[in-house]
Amino acid sequence: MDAAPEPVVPLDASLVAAARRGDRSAFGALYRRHARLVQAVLLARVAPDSVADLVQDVFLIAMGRLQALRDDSAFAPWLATIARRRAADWRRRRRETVPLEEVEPQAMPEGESARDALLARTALDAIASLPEAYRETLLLRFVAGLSGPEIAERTGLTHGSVRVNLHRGLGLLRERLRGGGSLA
Amino acid sequence: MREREEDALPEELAKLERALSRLPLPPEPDWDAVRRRARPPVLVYAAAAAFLMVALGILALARDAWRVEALAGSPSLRGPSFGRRVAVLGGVATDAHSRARIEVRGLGDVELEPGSVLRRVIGRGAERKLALDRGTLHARVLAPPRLFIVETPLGVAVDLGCAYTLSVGAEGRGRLEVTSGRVTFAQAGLESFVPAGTWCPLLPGGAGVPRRDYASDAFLAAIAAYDSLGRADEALDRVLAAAEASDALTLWHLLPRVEREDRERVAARIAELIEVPADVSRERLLALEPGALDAWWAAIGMGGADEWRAWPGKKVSWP
Repeated sequence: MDAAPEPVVPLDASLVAAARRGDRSAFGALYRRHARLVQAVLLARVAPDSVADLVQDVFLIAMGRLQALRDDSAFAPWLATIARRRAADWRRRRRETVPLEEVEPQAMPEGESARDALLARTALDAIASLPEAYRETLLLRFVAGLSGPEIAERTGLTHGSVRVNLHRGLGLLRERLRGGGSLA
Repeated sequence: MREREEDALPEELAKLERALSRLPLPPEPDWDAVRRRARPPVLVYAAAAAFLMVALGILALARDAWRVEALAGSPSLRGPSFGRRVAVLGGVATDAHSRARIEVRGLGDVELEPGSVLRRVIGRGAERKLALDRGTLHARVLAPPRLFIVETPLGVAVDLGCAYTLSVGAEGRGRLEVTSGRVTFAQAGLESFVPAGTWCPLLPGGAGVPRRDYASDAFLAAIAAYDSLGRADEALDRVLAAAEASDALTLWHLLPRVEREDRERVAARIAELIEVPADVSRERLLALEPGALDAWWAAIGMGGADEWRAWPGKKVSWP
């Protein structure tokens, strides 16, 4: 008997269409495909300890508004827009503004080395101190693992802008980290 | 293979990327549970909206309900009512020993004689519409014309600002008597213009011709015979012979109700009794052209025909 073929990873459009018809497992697949994207967008704007709740909020909002999405293949940029708006709401409602660099980063999973946890915290602090234009691009690269073209597709920026943001952002980040001695 | 800028990340940034890519994600929600939680609010909102609409509907019905007062005996309310108020689609019935007064909100009132059944029906816009299934009502209405309307099995009475009595008998006949102002009564494409001081029978075959209360006994007897004898030639002869100038209103109503040969005799008699328009040819009148009929109506001195039409702009469909 032949082995079953490898399942083809469904595209966003087919998952969105299925989710719109009430297929919750399809929406779960969309969550697993894009949770990192949402996490990165939120980390660029809100305190890390609030990100977990907001990630779920963003997907719940998306689920409720899925009927309003006109282009099923544009799910990722649409989701990123919801995440940015949710972050803006969070900042507006927050009475006391807490600078990102003063907030404790999320706890690392058990088993991670103390060095990795320290490094992640240091990196988030350093990225939070960068100009806003570079934050989201760097976090999409580091947290979501997206390439330059993928970042452009999900943010609406041109490839050139993404390339510039990455180049300058990485340069600034390296300076900040070296200046603090974190990477020594 | 994924394309990346800065493919050759320095070692220190590569370490940083590894650390950040391992940031924990929140646990994935149970999407089915989310759906179950999402349903109740939708149902609750829908139920609340439905309840609100029903409540607003009931409130609107209650606000528009008309007060009913017993003048004698025990009149009864039927259908939608609130206390002693009758709502749209509700009704009032009187037995052989009871009488009732119904307030027509904003326009006047109606008194209902014994043995009557009156219903409120839905009117258009500001209209106040009733249906008299049987019995007798006296209406006193102080309102702009054409807002108070009473439907009967024999036709529709449209008030032009007046007081009148309307009766519908069990035998399929009725009577409309106007004591002030004027009323039009329409049935089967025929309209009767009934001014104060006149009355007309309501007949199964069409709206009867109005006649003056103070007409001569001979004329009233002749027109009554005409009503009951099926409009025989000799009956029409007696009507024409007994008519006076003040009876031109009655003769004018006969024009569309008689055959062509008789119409010539009626027109000739009207022309003998009153001054008719010289610029309207007799042929046009005999052909029942609306303009010619209206010109002759104006000559009677009861105002222009357009002031009378039950429905402005609508020409009477003469048979």
